[in-house]
Amino acid sequence: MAWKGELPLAGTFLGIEIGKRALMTHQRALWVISHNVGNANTPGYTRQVADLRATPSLDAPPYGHLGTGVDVVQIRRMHDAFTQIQLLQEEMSLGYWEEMAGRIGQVERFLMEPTESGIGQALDWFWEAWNELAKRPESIPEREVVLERARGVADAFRHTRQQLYELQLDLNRQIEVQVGEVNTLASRIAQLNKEIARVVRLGQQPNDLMDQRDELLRQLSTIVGFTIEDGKDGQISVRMGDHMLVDGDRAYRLETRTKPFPDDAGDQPQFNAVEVIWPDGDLANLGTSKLQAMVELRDTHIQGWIQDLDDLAAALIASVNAVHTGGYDLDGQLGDVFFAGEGAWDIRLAITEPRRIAAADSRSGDDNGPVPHPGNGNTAKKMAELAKEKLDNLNMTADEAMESLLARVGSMGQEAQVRVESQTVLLNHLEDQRASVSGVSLDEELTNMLRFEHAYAAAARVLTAVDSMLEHLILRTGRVGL
Amino acid sequence: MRITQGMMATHVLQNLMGNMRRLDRLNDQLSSGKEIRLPSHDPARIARSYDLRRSLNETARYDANLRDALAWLNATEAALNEATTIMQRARELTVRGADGTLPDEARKAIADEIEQLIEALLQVADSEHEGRKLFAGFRVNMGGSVFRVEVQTDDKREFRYQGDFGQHVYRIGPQADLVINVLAADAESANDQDPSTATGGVFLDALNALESVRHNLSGAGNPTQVGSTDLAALDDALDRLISARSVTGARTNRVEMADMRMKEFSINLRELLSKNEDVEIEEKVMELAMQEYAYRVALQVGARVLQPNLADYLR
Repeated sequence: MAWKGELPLAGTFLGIEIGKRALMTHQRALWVISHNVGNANTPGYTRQVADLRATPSLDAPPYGHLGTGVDVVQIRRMHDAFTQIQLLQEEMSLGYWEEMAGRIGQVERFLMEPTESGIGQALDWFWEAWNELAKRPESIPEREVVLERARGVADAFRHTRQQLYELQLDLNRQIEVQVGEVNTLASRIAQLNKEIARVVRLGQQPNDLMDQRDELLRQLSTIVGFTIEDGKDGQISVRMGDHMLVDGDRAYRLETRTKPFPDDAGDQPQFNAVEVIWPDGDLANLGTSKLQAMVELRDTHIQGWIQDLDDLAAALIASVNAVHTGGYDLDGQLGDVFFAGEGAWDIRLAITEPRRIAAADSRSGDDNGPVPHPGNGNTAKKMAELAKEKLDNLNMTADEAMESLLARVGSMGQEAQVRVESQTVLLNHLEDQRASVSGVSLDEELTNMLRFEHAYAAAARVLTAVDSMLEHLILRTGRVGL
Repeated sequence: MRITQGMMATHVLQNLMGNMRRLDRLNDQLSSGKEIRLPSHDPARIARSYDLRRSLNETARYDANLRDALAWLNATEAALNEATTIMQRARELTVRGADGTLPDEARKAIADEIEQLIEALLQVADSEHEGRKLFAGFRVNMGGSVFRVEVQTDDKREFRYQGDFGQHVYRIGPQADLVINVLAADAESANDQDPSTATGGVFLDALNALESVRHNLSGAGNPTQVGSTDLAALDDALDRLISARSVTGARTNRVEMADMRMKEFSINLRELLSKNEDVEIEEKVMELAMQEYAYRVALQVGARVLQPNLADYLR
């Protein structure tokens, strides 16, 4: 940096000037050390180093060039731009996988396998009730048990699905909240850009402002995906795909609009899904990030698993009803529909009277005068055998369907956890790299402090000597004999 | 690489966190006794666990069916034994009654005893197991008797079957069905809609044979038939009874063998499930001890490494 101070005259007071420069420079160096020490634990703080340089020498013939002392040329910010970019990217990735791992963990807990409370056990109790009824089809208590166990199956499906649905609703709310966060951070970054540019144009180093901006960028990366671009006068712009979030001192806002989801719902529960868009209506490109994970989970993964439960429930309803409506009840009447509903959200028992359970597969008489065969439990037997049959439209047994669901959720959860672990290791390594360049070492600062302290003391000593020489010159020269 | 105190503190923390995570997992495993608790711990194992549990429950159903089948078959066997004893006594009487030199009163006396045996046989036909008729097909809780007695004009009685031809089928294994009941009358001998038109069957043959003897010895019929046609019919009926007993015996054997297989299968399943899910206690406790030690070491080293710094030594 060009020396901007006054050009000293190689005159009487050059010594004082040099001494003054030494004292002030070393004092400033100590200030920088003090600032570093004070901020040793400030998150995102980048250590600063006072660069000392000899001030331009004077041309003093015939002695040659005379040195004129020292000054702080700049206060350098020990910043590693490349590591910072990597940190931001990996932080975005971690955000994505952490969200996935966390939410899938919740889904696993809702599925409650392998436990007594899962759908698997409820189904087994259901099949058991039919198996017992097949051996005592005329027994009312056995019929009551069938109804109870059927309610248990319906409850298990509805309850599990409801929990998954509420997870979707929670994600929906959170997406809205996170968009607000992004906008807040963006406007603060833009504001900092403005201030940084102002300081840079004055020829100064806004080190602490840049640290603050880095922190904000770091926080932003835990939410959404972006790339950064260097602007003029030290500004940094934030780009999300083909839209700018921050352009110099200008912040653009992300907006939201809602859309009914799922859109082919029929009678299923529906909610207003939040879409993240730019003011011009384009869908925002969220990159690989926490927000992106939230949207994917809500719209694709959890929705897919809900769909699987609905499909299984629908197939169960269809298959059970097909068997039941082919059988005869305790009064010889043709069986009614057993389960009502279209999916896991509304599956329910349609029979309330135990006598109406169709356990038999034959009767005498006809529709006008039915004569039941109460000891015939063949339809109940067929019902119990549904446990091992491929269900209507599903092409799998109920067990195969559940195992498939569990394996898929489990695999995805496992992958997410593995990724979180490896991302964390990677981030830790990058953090080390950043800290190695930019972190404050107390031992280092204290050592430097000693150096500057000693130099300051020595400079003061020299200044005292120069002062006393001048005193001789001014006060005593020419006074003879005094 | 330049190292700062901040970095060292971070590293100590990361290591402690790692240790604590491992300890936490061990705690979870030991206190629950389960190696895996969630699908994401091991997706393939969880699917296997689910499958094994379903199989265990399925086996339990077969088990229950086998037990119930055995009880029914045993009751059937007992009743058929009783019927056989009755028929053997009846045969003795019939042989005696076939003697042409018997006086009328003697014949009448035998006819009366045969009458008692017919009553006894009717009662056996009404036998129940846990309140359900053994020999009436699906009409397990019918009121009244399995056979309705109709007296004809010639004083000969006919027996109208009041049950139906339903077969009780139990599922005793994967794709394995077993019919467990014996019918008192045959479906082949009846017209489709009306079981009471049946003319033959395990009990019906026996009843008809005895009734013929009784009628012929009572004075209203022809005594000379007793030694010939009646005795032959009685022997045929006895054969039918014995045949029904051996069918029931064969079914019982099948059930007992299936029961043994099912029990062994169940034990195997439980073992597989345990291997799949459960923690090996000794191994886990060792792991816990090692992990605890590692954690302690990490704490000690962390403390030693973090504490000193230059400021301690400057005057």
